Amino acid sequence: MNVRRQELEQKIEEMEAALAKLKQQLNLAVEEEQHESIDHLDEHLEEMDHKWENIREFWPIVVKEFRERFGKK
Amino acid sequence: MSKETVLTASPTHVSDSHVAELTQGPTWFKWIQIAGLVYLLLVAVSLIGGGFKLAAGDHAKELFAFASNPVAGLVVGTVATALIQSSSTVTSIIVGLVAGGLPVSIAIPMVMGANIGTTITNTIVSLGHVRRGDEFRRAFSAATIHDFFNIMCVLLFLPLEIMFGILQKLGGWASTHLVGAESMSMKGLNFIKPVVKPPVELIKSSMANFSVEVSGIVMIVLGILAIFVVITFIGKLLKSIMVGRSKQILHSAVGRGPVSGIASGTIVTVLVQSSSTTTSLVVPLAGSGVFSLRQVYPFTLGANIGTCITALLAATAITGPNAVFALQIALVHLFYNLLGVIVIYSVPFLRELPIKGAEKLAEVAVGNKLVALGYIAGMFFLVPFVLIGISNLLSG
Repeated sequence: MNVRRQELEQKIEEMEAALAKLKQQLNLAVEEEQHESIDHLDEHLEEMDHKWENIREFWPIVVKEFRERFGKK
Repeated sequence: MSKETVLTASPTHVSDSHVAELTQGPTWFKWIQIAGLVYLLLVAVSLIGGGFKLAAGDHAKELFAFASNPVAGLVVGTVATALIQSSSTVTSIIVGLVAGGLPVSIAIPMVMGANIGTTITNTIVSLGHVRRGDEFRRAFSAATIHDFFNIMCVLLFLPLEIMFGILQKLGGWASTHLVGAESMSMKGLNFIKPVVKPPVELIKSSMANFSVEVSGIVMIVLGILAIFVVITFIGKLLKSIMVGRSKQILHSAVGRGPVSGIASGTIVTVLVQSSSTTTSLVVPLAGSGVFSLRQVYPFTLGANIGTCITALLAATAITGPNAVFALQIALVHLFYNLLGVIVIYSVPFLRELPIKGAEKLAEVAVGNKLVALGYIAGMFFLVPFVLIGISNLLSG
């Protein structure tokens, strides 16, 4: 086996190990973010109590879009 | 169920201040209130059963002849749940009606429809993200994945039920074993009857001056109102008590895969007694991008299983010859949701369909909000009635 090939294989192994480590770090960061989000569960539950306000907010957007698509130009 | 829902939909006008008063105070007091409300739920279900028996007599089947078409039953369940926004309320009412003589075969499509109807709540919650494009896309898909899954369940199981009555047989077999075919009284749950019977008898005797039919109808109406109010208040109380425990469960499910997600969705739904609360909870979690659609999907499925607890609880209120049928429909609800999760989620091709459907719909809805509006109006109200028309035409 020539030196060049050995060097390349060695580099690939190192990069793969580094990539696996990065993926693991990313997973941990994502999970940390998820735990933080779960800590705000109370606020998300409150959001449910305002669902009719969501419709009030949604309605003018729909009306505007309707006018844009079907209104006289 | 939100405060707004209570205000707009409850005929008894449960006000914001009532809800606030009830959800304040020490935890032990809230538990006492919950125990009282559960008792009221049992009385209410019993009231509906007794009332329906009085009003319909031996004609319960004829009274619900319009729903003997399975599509009509499905639509009744869907639209009623979408309007009330609580599948627990609708399934508890169905348990009461079955106790009063409604045939289980007619009730099964209604229960399936309740699963579809309940998904309107989280779709409405997702509209809160409408001004932020990407966030709306993620939130809307997290909400509608539940719709697609429930529609698939109906498409798979309703034809099988019509042809072979699988769920009815399964529920019948299990309920006979649990209740006992001879005495028809719940094994080990006989204490329910003496506790529930006095208020039902009191209401019945207080209407001695009215005809049997009128008394029955009044009892049904009272029962439905009571179930509505009870489930609203229980939901509020449990939400305030169980938020900490729900957090713990969700924390423990992070990074553990789909089975853990299904289990945590089930447990959280049992704790808050509301599948729409659980499925609405995932909307902001997915909308922010912190959880992916694939991660919230199993949690949503768990909500379908957890919500069956209310109908099972309601069935314990029923004693006498129809107890076995009341338990049968509650068990059908459980088996239907369990089988749905097992069959659809364990087959990779089927598992992917709700994800693909929800992603595609959300993509289109972001570009055209009219599609989102059309989807809600069509899915929960227009299409159901068109289906009834078509099925009536086909059945001649």
